[in-house]
Amino acid sequence: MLTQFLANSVSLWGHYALLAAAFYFASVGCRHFNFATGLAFLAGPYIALQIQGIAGTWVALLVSLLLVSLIGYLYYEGSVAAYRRGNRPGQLLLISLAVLGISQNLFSALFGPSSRKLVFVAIGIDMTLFSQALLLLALSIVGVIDILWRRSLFGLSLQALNESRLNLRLRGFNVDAIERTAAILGFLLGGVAGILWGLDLRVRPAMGFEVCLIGVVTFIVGPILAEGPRGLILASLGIVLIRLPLIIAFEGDWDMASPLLLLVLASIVRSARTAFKERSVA
Amino acid sequence: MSRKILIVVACLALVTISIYLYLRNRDEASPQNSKEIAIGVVLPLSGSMAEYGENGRDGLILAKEQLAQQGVQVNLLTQDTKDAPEATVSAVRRLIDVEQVKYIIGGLTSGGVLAAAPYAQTKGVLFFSPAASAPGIPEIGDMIFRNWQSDTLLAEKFAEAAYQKLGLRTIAILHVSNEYGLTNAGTFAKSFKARGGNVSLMRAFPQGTSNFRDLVTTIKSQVGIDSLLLAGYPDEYRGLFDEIQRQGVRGIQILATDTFYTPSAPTDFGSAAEGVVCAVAAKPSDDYEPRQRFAVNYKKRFNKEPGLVSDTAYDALLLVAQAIRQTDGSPKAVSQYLLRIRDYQGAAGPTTFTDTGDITGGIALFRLSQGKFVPVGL
Repeated sequence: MLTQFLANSVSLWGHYALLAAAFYFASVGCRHFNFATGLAFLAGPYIALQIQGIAGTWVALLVSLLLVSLIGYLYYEGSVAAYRRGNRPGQLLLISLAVLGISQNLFSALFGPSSRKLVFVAIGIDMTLFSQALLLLALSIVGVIDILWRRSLFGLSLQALNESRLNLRLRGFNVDAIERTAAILGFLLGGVAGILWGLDLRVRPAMGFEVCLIGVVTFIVGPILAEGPRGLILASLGIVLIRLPLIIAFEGDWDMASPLLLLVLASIVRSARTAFKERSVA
Repeated sequence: MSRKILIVVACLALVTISIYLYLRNRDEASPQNSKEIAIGVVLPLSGSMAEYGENGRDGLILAKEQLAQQGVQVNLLTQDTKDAPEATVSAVRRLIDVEQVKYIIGGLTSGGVLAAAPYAQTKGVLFFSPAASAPGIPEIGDMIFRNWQSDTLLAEKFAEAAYQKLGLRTIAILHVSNEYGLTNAGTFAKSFKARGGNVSLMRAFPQGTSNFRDLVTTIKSQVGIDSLLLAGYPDEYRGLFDEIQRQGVRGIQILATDTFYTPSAPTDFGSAAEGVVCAVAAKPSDDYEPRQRFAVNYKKRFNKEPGLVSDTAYDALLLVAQAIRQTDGSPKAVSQYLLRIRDYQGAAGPTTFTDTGDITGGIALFRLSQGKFVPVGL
């Protein structure tokens, strides 16, 4: 049965890694930690569910991802306008939290508070029963994102953006376009994460805030472990590895506690490493 | 300057809107004439318990309409309690302090009723729950009633039936981590063990969970179990049965508590729910006239079968209305009248309250078979 637990954890890792990438790109693009990515996570599956019955699964998925990208674009433009009016990142973070809170209530009012499942039947086979395929898809997407981050001009410019926005602008890069693309990519990944979650498990409107915890923790811990998406993949792995022995040995809601435990662990390791470095220098 | 004016105008607008909404609600709530009875209703109309809340609301609406035909006007002041005890407390406080109601019907979760009922008792307001099942609720005080059997009684009898009638010997239990789940799981386990059965595992899950993958894997890892008891709500059952089907859990008898007994079970919970046996408070047979009449009227009015809580909520309103009409209408007098009632012929069966305001009764087992609940003889 340990194999089954491992398989479950690996499957969860795929979902978490995708979520982490979504939050990371949406936050880098919008220049504040972006809770509104949770809205993309909800919008993806819920829009798909509404369209599926009318136009079929493929069209539903396509339309839902397009709409989620549009939400990302609109959110980005809104946050840029807010920056221009003098709002600081802290204020925008709170606004993103409000956007998510309102969206959750809206989804609950429109689609009901109960959990929903996306069903995707291809060639007469219910694909939702193959969670390993969904896991592979999720990890492949994050892998491609990692390659993009390291090899493409877009990825390299995002890395440079993390170091100095002004420097990048002085070098002639269109920083706004880079940030806009990152924000839209983040929302798109959020939508994909929601759809895969809806196919594999079930989605509820209340999950918007729950997935934010994964986003926050991986956003903080990821860069400590490694740069870019690789750090996010490792941080997500850290969460599921911490969760694994806990769910086997104890009962309780470890889905919420595991990310926080990773955060505490990372803080301790970081403090110890800093102290060790200072002692070495002395 | 203009910004300050804008802020002041916005604040004034918000205050004006709030006052308007308050007055409008009050107008709607205020009795149209002296004969109208204002009754507070607290039900979960959103959240994972919404299905039961809607069942209860429909039962109350049907009772209200039937009372209106008899010339008794009832004004139901409904508050949504979601599935959180704190929301039930806020709703009850609002009904008592703002709407100044003297009678409240509702409170479907035991946690919510345990948290809110003491306030109603302190304020001398009659609180009648058509579904809260935890032990100790009627004992809160003389103003607290319910017409739903205690979980303790139901779970004890269910364990007895599981051991003796169904021949089950080793069971694993998954339950929602609230008052309802804890009472059902704890009492069932105690009673099952007392009869010689073995409880190999008992695990709780938070209300609203949708990922049951690891819990079902844990169940699969249990060697030698012949049964599994589930105590949750429909939203959790959906996730659980999805996962049970996905992981191919077979060869064990799945049992479920009374929350499983819902008309949507056959379509909602999938093929993995086929063969599940659930225990509910014994209801009268189909030829029992008050129940038959209720079912026909309910279906005619709402175009669906009555669900869990519909009948008890319906009875609750008719009982309270009858008590109000037969007395001076003070909550104290209504309470005393209810305690004197013997074999009230309600939709949920004949009702007689114990001296604490509780009810007792037997259980009935149902097996979900080919999309229908089939009685299992005891």
